[in-house]
Amino acid sequence: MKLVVLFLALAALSSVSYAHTVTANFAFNIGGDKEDTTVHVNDENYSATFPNELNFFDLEKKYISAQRNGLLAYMIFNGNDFLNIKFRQYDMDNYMFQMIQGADKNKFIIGFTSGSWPDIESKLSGIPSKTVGNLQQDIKRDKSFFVRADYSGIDILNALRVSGVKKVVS
Amino acid sequence: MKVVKMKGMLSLIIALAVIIASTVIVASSINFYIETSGDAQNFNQGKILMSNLDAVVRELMFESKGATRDFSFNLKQGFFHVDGNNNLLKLTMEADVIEPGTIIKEGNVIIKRRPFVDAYDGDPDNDDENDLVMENDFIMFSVKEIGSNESHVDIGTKDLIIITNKFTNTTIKPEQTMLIDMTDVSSGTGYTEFLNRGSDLEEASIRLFMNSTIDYEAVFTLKAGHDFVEVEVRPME
Repeated sequence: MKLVVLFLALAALSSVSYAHTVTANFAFNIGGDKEDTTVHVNDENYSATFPNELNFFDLEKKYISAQRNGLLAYMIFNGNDFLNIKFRQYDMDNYMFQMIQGADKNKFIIGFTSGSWPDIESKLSGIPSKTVGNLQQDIKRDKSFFVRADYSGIDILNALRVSGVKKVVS
Repeated sequence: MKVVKMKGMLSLIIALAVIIASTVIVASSINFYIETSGDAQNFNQGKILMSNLDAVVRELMFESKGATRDFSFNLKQGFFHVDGNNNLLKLTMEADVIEPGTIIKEGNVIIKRRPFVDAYDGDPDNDDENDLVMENDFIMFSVKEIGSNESHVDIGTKDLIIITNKFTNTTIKPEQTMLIDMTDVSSGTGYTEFLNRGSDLEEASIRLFMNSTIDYEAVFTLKAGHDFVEVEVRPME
């Protein structure tokens, strides 16, 4: 009986694969330096020059962003196993976002768009939604579409671009 | 002007069967849009023109090599392209009858409304070095082109990527470092490559393969209509 229990325990242990973690660090700035930049994480705003390291483990809203003059850079967790987000100074001109997650089905979302942190919050539950930034009006304006026919069984020999009334001999 | 010539007969017969089935579906969706808005007339015109042209090309497939047809059309707006490099015919127009990002595939005929993704070789930072570029209406994301599957070279990830906000034409160049199990894997040997490239794509991906302290690949994906890039890091067991 003891041997059976020991065997089952060993079998269970052998089936547990080693859990990797993956970490992505992004050191950057918006506009050439850290001035006039607000970092938003865990419902709080911080200056990008905030000197202390910020480390968050049990975040409800798993993202961190930096905004300056209507520009928004961000890192959002979209994986399976969130571990933590960190903010710290990197060098004279750059601050750093860090995110750690379990390797299984990990996914980092990184973006640089127009808007502010409320744009992220309003779309966080739908990530990955179409856009994170405040860009919907621009999408609606563009009405262009195309109708295209691809042919793998033939060779088209020419290149042509025309508009208006034309006669094409094929 | 000769536009097409025949290839093998087997592939032509298969292509014909697919197109006949799809044409019925195209016709029924045209009727729906005609009833809904005036803008739909442009949309309708584009679909009918391309369906007719597609029928002409299909006729040619069953004729001898070098067969020709006349095809005339009156295009009230937009542009018509014949792309001999990629063997495609393309009509670009404007009409607000389908949702942004919509893609309808009907056999050979594909209807897409912006936004799209283009993936191509370029040099957006003008450093005279080739970059792998993915671009949609919102952002341009580039990764340095380094090495190849056959030729692994030294790579550092710190100056690998550039992200450009196209609305403001502003750029950030993050110094990117990666760790696996808290081991720095930001340098090593490997290569970068497109997983798919082309124009008018639904999404494009760039792969970084790295032999480092721990081997891994990182895949960067840009989708049409997204203003962000999705990054997946996959350690090699």
